[in-house]
Amino acid sequence: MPAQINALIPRMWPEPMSEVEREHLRDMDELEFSVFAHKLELICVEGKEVLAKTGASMPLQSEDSNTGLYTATGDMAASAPGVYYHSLTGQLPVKWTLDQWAGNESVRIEEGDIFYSTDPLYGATHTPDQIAFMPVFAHGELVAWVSSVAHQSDVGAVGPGMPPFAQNRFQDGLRLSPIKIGERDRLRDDLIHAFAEMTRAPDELRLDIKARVASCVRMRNRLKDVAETMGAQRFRGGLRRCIEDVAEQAARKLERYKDGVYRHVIFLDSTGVDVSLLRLQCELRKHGERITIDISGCSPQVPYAYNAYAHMGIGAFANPLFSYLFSDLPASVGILRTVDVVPTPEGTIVSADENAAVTAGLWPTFFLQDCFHVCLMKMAFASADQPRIAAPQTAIACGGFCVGVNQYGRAFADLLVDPLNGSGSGARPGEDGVDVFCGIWGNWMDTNDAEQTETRGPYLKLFSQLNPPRAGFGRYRGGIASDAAYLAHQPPGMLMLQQMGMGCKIPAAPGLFGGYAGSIYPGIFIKGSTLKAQIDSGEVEPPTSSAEVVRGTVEGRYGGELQMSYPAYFVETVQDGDLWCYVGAHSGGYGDALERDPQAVLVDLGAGLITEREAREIYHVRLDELTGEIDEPATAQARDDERRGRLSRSRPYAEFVAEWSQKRPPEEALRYYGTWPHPTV
Amino acid sequence: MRTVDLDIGGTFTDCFLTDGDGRWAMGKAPTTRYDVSIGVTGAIADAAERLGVSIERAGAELESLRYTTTIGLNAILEGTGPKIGLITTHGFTDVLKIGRARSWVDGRRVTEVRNKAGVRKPPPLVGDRLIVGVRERVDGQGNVVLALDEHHVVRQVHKLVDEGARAFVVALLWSSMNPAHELRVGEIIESLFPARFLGAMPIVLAHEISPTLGEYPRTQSAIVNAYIERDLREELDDLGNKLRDVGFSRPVICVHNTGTSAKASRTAAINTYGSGPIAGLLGGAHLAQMYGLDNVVLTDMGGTSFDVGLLIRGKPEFYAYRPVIGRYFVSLPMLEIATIGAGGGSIARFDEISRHLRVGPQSAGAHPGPAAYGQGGREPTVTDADLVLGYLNPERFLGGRMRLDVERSRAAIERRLAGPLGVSVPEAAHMVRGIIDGTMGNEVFNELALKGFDPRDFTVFAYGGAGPTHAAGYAAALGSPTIHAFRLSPVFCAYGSSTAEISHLYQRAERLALIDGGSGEVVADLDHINALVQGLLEMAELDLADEGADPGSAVATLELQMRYGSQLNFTPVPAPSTTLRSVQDVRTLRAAFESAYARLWGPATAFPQGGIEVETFRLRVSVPKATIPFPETRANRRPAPSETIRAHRDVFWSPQQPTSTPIYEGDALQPGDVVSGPAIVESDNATLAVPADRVMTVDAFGSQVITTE
Repeated sequence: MPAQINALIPRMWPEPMSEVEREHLRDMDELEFSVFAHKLELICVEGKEVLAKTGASMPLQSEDSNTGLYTATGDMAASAPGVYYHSLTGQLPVKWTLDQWAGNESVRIEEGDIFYSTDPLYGATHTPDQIAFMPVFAHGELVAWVSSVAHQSDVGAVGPGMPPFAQNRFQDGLRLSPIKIGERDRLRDDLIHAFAEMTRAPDELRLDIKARVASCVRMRNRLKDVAETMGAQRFRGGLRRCIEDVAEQAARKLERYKDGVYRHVIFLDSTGVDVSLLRLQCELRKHGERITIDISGCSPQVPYAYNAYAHMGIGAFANPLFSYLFSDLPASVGILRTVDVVPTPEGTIVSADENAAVTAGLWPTFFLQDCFHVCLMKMAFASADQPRIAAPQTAIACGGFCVGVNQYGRAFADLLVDPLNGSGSGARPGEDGVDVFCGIWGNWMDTNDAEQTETRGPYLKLFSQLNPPRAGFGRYRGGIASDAAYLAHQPPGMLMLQQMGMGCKIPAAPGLFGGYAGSIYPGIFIKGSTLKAQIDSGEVEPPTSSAEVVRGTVEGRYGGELQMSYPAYFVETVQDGDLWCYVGAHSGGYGDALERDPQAVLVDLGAGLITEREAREIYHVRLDELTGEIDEPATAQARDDERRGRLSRSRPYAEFVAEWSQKRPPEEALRYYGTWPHPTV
Repeated sequence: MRTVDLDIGGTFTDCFLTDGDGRWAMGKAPTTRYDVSIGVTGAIADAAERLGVSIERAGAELESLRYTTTIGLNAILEGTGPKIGLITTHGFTDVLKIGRARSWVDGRRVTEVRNKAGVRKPPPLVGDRLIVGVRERVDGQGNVVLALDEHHVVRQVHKLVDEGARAFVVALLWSSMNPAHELRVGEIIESLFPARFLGAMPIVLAHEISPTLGEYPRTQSAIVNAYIERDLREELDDLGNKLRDVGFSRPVICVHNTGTSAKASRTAAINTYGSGPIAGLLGGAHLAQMYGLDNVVLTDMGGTSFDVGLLIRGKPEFYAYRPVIGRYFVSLPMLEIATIGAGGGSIARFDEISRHLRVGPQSAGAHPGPAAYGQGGREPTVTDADLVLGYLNPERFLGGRMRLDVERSRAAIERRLAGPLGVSVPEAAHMVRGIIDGTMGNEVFNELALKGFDPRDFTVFAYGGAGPTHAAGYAAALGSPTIHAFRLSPVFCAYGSSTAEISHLYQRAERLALIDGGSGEVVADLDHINALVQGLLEMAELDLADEGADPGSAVATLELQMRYGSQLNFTPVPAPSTTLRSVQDVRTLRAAFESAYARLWGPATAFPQGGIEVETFRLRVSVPKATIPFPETRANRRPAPSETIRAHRDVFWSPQQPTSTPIYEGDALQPGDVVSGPAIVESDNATLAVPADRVMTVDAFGSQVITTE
């Protein structure tokens, strides 16, 4: 009884209200409900902290995770602030379990049961995002569910981590449909052993499963106490009210935004394996108190793992909704009650068929998230909701996975998170983006210190610096990311590196309202680098940027074979001294660069964030040659000249379209693109 | 006079003074930032006068003078620290800006920063041009990978001086494992700017301030230390000189945020940060032990914040998991005080979208303050709600030093809350009170629950300006059955300072395996561990000798930070002794770890297959001192408590209608007096609310104890 992908979609929205919920919806007065809702959020926060403190692997410790509370029928009533799509998509395995196992005598759902799932066909976002979930009973009645989700560094896929070259779902690694892995709060050791041994770092998975379960047990105990104190049925009414109230509030809020149609298109530059153009587009129609999202017209699914099932894209919509537009509302699925999604035919990169590999499928969903984000921001801008506006974070999330034997002789899997958790944030009206901020999909994730990183695996960080962006210009500049390099350091055994990412040729962080887009980056690996030995002997000064590493290697000063990859995808067996770089991605700017305060340009110049050429040609700032200060009259003149130049270069729209429509990328770039020109564009 | 304890706060300087004959007194004076000695001598004089002695006599008889201060907080808030030059490892000069990415949430509660479009990172305390790298590298095992380039160091130091550096922080990678390079850089700076010349500048080596893993918090610790050091030193010098002028010749002892105390000459500046609330925690521990209470939650509700501290087995047991100073993540073993944005000044507002009331975390602060202050505040606050509901006496706020304007409060609540909600003013005010009490109760619950405790097993100690007024409310939300409010509440932190022992805390970070995961056998190198601890003990002996204490009388306790292999986070475990003599000692340690871990996270989460490791050794050495017995209050009359009723006032215990409520004179109540709720107990410095289902008893120590009827 495999899950039908399309059957999952409607289950993302709240189930019909039960009689009990309806009857007890307003049992609590405003005051009691306010305190109740606050308590639910704190219970989720507590569960998330338990997860971070008991977990073994990097994603748990750096809080690439989330926890959620659900009604008895599996609707998300509350969530910790964190990776919202985890708690939102967590509804699906809960609902599937209710549908399939509640009435099945060989399984059943009882107090103390522990369920687990990793299979995207049943609601997970990809196989590494693994969910533990438990029912909550009060006085013998099923009143709620709790979940704890976190990324796992290795899942035993066809390559380490989340290999982009997986070609079907059977290469995605450990795919568990919702399964009971424990009863009466006790885990089944035989099952945990079996799952763990299917991965490259079995001890990490064992401990991480325990951490997820510890988190669930903690939340379950808290909820049970609350429910038994206030009464099971009042409790169920209260949980439902968390959804209904938020739905009403979201509708009220939407009503204030201007009606209209908001669109955005993003182009991807690879399938993760092959270089190719791909298209993601989103149209947001806002009318009254509802929005309708249409993502038809995206490129066809690809024969690799950069595909997403349709519910994964809807999960990605949750991030800008919960973290930007509706961040002043409690996080519950009620928000989705104001959202309609036009059904998308199966077979696109963001609505792949069920046999597609999707282990790297979050990448296209991040790009889709950015499309949607831009649409939302246009709507917010049109409605003057300035405090909620920011250019989207970069969807580029170059990642690296190291697996093998660490310096303590143990099998390990590590997610090297500098570029993932440390991308910059988009610029805001009135303020630059935040430098080295967090991943596009979450909140306050940690990049870890070099010393923490070096504790996990046999490597040295050569440098970890801010990377001068060469991108994201605007009235307010996009947030800057970090630039880091790793040297393999006396690995005692096998060490493999899997690197992946998109956005190596086309920036994946759109600018907003005239701001420049964010940056691009390549994959950089230097096999047989002699740099470590040269540094050790004092022969060379250690480089402090990836650009220096590349330049020094190309010029033959460091030795070794430089491998620059576009897309940033490779799998390598690593030897002592091998070197690889992570050039983090910057986010987009906001507003016209000509409007940036010249003094801010001067500060950027002094900090090495821009070059003199960029100051001159992008910001059109002129400096006094003697003092190095801003030459204000000359700057004003240069900016006026540029504005006039823009007018002189402009053409009537129809004329532009006529010429532009004649252009066509090379055929090899359209291999996976779909139709060109697209009929809807 | 035997002891003087001072707490220099932002608004008031508090003094707790004892005479050695069991007598004590509280003193208060406004803090005078331009010259703290004026406020200090004023507070001492106030207390001395209550004991009927002159300040000169108090000075002449002085045995010890301890103090806590907010000068560090002021230096950070006002940006008065010196220009610091930071020397770090080549290639890591952006460590402060990177800040592990999530530094934007440091110093904030995660639920307060959900809008990603509106966040900011803390501004670095060191400017871009004042950060340099030096060529060197040590790896995670403490091996030198790249030797220190001393010529490079010299050039970089000169560069910092040219940029105007007035203090140096040296924070190199892995200095906690091998500090040789940091020490050498320090020597080079000293040789360039010798102490005997005018150009000498303070040098802070990160491993000496925080010998722990993680370069970001270790670097921040050293920077914060250097940043607040100058202001603290000036305050201490000035205070010492002025106090000597009036006869106080004893050296000043500083209470530390680690729960220890030491002479100023053995105190790192950073350890004084937040020492006032920590002193309160120590005082709470003293009282808990006196009352025989194991589990206590201390709650200090002031104007802008609500501080929460925990006592387990009568002692402060928890160090902050992610300690933050201002907004800077540091790695210090600071005792944990959780701060929640809730206080008398918390602003209540009607949210048009949710159509609910929201209270805090924004605060009206002291200026303009609540609408009732009449200082221009227009927003309704918790204090305004307390006032219109009848809990507060407008004539007696801050001991009568400020008159509250109830009409302004009523107007603010009517306009901003009651009107939009379509309810009466008392109904709106009642909701404000209910929400703030519920929020605080939930947050305290969360603090306890995260540490594996059941809040219902805890007694609440309530102090701070607004604590006693709200304690019954938040204790109910918490489920705690008993509340204590103390006579010493107005100077609680100064009183707590008087209970602090002379003690020192030493740390050493080194990752060592204790138990093998595969075999379960002990693999610890006992000789190595004992040598490591012996090194800490020898440092302690030197420090104690410097304090004039007898090292032989000191008590040493060892705590280990332990974990199952591959975890990043640690569980603190007290060692059975400072020496591990046998394999059996390690097994005892293992059992203690497993027990603590199971209590925190549940027995099913144990992971012995991963092995057990230790990473940080913490040695605390204390010199026990005779405790000052908490002064009992003798009943000198036995009138009925009802005779202390000053008046009756309408108080809205429920939103519908007020109840005529007796107002007791708190200072007139005697041990053994019992007051049944509903009642208000007023004194100059506190207002205790006793709801209808509660009873307040004055105990032998004069404390007001609220229990469920």
